[in-house]
This record gives sequence, C-alpha cells and structure tokens, in this order.
Amino acid sequence: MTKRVADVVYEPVPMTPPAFGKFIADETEKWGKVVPAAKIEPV
Amino acid sequence: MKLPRRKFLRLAGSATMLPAVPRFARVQGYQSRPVRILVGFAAGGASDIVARLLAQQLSERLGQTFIVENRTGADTNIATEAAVRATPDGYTLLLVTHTNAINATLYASQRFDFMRDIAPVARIGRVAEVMLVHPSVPAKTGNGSLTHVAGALFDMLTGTDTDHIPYRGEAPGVTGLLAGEVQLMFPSLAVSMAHINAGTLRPLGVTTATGVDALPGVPPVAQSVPGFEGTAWQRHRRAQERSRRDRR
Repeated sequence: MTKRVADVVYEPVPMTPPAFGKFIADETEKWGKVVPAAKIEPV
Repeated sequence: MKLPRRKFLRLAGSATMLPAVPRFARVQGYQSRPVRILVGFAAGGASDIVARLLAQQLSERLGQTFIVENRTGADTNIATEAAVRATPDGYTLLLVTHTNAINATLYASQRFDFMRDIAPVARIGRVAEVMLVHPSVPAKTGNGSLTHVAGALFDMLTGTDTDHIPYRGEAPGVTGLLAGEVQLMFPSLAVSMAHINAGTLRPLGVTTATGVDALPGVPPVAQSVPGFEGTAWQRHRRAQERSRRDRR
C-alpha cells in the first residue's frame, strides 16, 4: 500500500511558507463560498 | 439540498507531501527528542500513509525519530487543536489538509484560529481524487452521468441533487462501491488505484484541473463540468508562538 501511494499519488508541489499561507487563505475563501451555496449547515 | 459535512469534506480532494524540514536540522540542539506529526485522520487512509512516508524519510534524513500520531475526530479539529495547544518548539507538527480550510467556515465556534495559531512550514503536494463508478453502472464517461454524481461541488456546478450515503472512511466507502451499495464515489487514488487496475471499478474522471499520469486517458471532470476542481492538499504547519493568555 505504501509503495502504491508513493508510486501513484505523489505530485509534489513545492511552495514557500509565505506562498503556502496565501494558498491556505485562498482555499479557505474558495470553500467558504461553496459551503453556504451547498446549504451545508455550520456546526 | 442539504449536504452532510463528511460528504463535502471528502469531495474537497486529496494530497501529497515532500520532506521539507531541512531548516529544522540547522537549529542547534533541535531533535533532542522525537518529533510528533499529528494527523487528524485514521490510520490507513491516504493522509496517514503520506504522513508515515514523510516521517520515514525525515527520520532517515535527519537521523532522528519522527512519529505519526493519529488524533481523529471532529473533522480533524481535535488534531489541529492539539497542535495549537502544544508548546511551539518545533517538536509538534501538524499535517494540514484541505479540511482545515473548509473547517474555517463549517465550524462557527472553534477554540482556535487556524490562520493565526498555526504557522506554515512547507507545502508537500497534492493527490488527485477520481470519480469512480461500479462497472455495473452504464456510464462510460463523465458526460451523461451527472445525475449519478455525489458531490457538493459537483452538484452545485451541475445543478444535480444526489443522495449521500455516509461511510466511516474512504476504504469502507470503496468497499460499498465494490458491493454496489452506492453507485458513485470520489475517493483518492491512494485507496482506489488497485481496483481501477483490476477493472473492478471504473474511473470516469479525475478531480484535478488536468489529467494525471497515473490514469492516462481518464479526463478531468472539469472537461465536462467547467470550474470543477477538487484536489486535496497536505502540508505541514507548526504551532505558532502565542501566549497562554491569548489562547481561548
């Protein structure tokens, strides 16, 4: 299983910490729009 | 349509990681004891496997011990909070995924601020998920099978309204798909590749914006549903220095 994952699913995406922080902020905003649109009830 | 959280979270994607902690090794005295990698998912899943691969590589590379600690529950919030509460000394790392970004909206009253309390270390990578059907389902491509698709984002973009059948994890879900209990699923390649290769499950599309090398000939779902992209990602973050007084 481990070998399969390593062989198949790895797609390295290097990113600096600042870029990483921005990416997370962007992802949070993106999914933050989908959640209410899909009528998912917040916990 | 009301969509259960787990379905939504699962649809958000999957991911990967690269060893990226060399700067830790340069800190004198660092690694005088084992380093914990907190994972908010159960052992055996894609995130756990990726974390263990990373721990193994880091241990070999740095000559110290990296331990994966599964802290499941509350859609990874338990693991995240454990990281937030940990001493910010570099001995506690958190495997971050798309779930953390989604939780910021899903959980109205978290006892931490993910963006404020956890510092980024390194992005690791990503892994495609794949839209799979049981071979008995007539669909051969993503086109024409929209009404069978289970997924919040997919439903939102396509206007479909599919039923969600919850499972305790990806692996049980794939088992349910193999048994014909459900007709369609968006699991990660990590848990589905063997079944695809064996022909017991049929891939209709991948959730990345472009195709993936592992599945030549399988188009991205976005080719039929513009704007659909649901790759998950995993990264490491560490607890941010912060006074106890500030911690809620």
